[in-house]
Amino acid sequence: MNRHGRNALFGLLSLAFCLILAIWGRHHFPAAIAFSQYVVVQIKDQPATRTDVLINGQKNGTTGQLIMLGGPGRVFISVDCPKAKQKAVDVRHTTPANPLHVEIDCSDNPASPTPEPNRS
Amino acid sequence: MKRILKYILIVCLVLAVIGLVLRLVLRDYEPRYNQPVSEAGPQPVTQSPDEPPGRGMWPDRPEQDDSALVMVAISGGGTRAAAVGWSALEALRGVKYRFTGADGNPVESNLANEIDLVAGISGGSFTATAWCLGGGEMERFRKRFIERDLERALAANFISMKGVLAFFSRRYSRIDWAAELYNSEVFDGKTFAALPARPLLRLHATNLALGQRFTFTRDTFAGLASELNSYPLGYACAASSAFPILLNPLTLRNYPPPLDLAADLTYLSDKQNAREDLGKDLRVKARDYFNNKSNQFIHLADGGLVDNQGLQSILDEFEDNGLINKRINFMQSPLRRLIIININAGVAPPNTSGESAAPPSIPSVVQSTMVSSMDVLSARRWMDIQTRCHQLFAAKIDVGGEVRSYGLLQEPYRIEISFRNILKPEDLQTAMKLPTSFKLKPEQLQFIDGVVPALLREDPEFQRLVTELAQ
Repeated sequence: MNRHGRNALFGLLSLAFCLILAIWGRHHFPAAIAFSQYVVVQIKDQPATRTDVLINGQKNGTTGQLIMLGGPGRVFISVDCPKAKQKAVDVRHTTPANPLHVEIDCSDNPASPTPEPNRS
Repeated sequence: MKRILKYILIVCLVLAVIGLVLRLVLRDYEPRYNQPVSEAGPQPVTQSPDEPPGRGMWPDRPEQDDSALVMVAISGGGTRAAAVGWSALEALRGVKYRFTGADGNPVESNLANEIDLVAGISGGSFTATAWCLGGGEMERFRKRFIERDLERALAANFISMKGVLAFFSRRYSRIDWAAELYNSEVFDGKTFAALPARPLLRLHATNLALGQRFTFTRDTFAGLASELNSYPLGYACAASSAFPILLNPLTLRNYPPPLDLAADLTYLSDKQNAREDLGKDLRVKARDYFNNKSNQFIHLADGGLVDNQGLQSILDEFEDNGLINKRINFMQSPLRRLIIININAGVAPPNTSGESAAPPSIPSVVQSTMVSSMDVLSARRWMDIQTRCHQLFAAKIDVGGEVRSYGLLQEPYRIEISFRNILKPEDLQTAMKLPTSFKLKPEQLQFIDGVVPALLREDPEFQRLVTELAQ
């Protein structure tokens, strides 16, 4: 490759480099790693009932069993049963041995404000 | 003399008229775009819980070990990355894997057969796609892609009808040559509909408007009111490998109507956590951008611009509803082995600028800045995966005996196949000089085929896995 060719190639690479910097400048360093969080979900007044748990609308785990979440923050928790009343729960500072316990009401009663869930 | 000038003028005039007519006729000539959803209209997508990803890939196929979750990321790097990915998968195929099947009988398999998810970036996206599509049959792909001089095949378009189209159309461009070539000659025109349920394929490009990762999934396409099934795999690979300047970005259509995001619980949850979690903030921005239908087109460039090793794709699976969490949370079958394999074809030629008092040349500075930034990002992600794996195993230590799904869990395996781990100095030197291009010489391919299996065998995490498998 002659000198002009090299210069053209370096010019192209420099342009590509500027573009990459522009893209990275928009944000891109990975987020700090989050700590996994843990919940145990039960149906109110039916602690022995086993059904699927819904995390943000997706089936992910079983009632009465330990459920691992990706990180701290607010999630929508429900269970796969008719009349289940979904809860928005803030999950923080949990460990596998000390998960957040969440009760979901599946009774016929209309939705009513429920107290914040207790940690065991 | 005057006569010659007159002829030249006439020829120029005729050419200008032809050019003008062609421009007018071809200016709106369109490439193949993604298709809109059917009349039913877009709905907020939630993964069907009965599909394998909806349950963290559980249950596996009968010929797979249900208690193992194996995820592979293949990096970018042109044909070099595709070849390294190919050799690594072949090497994994040679690793015997025995387990007890659902019927209680022993099953003889291999480690490659256990792969549940393959993430591909840029050059690695081709191998990832071929692996998922071919069910492990990769010989045809090797001949059609890895051993082929694709640069020549692409350059031939300059003097063809496609070259004329690219010159006169404002929509059809060089990347569409590449997409058509990969579609017809590498993947036989197959679309996402041809992919089996397992392994799960994750192809990544970069959304230039947001400077963010764009993943070819049904969820992402639903946000564009488009359906993924009819989209050609060759086009997705072209987007993933569209290196800026050398190739134009590939364009997708963003169709109306907008989704009802107020009904999407994942979006609402992400939005509430966006201030304290950058990943969720980025997801919210992407959904909002796609839902603003005045953004009619999405322009995609090389996925390596934001994640050159595909490791963020693995990290995503540690999220609330990611494959790893779901696999752990579904208690029916405990998870025994989580195996993450990082196939990294990255090279870093030796930097000799320290030997001279003169300031480094522009190319040297460009190279140092690009390579070191990409490397730092990827190394950080690899360490984050390690942290996540430690957390997972720490949970087992906390509650293992009492919680069924953690009871059998072994310490997760993080296997790395990377040229940087080559022990022989002369081999390391040869590897670092391998080009990032769409053609490799036979001796370069032979070198890769020789060195990659050795890198797998020498990896300490792989040795730990082999020891455990032998017990």
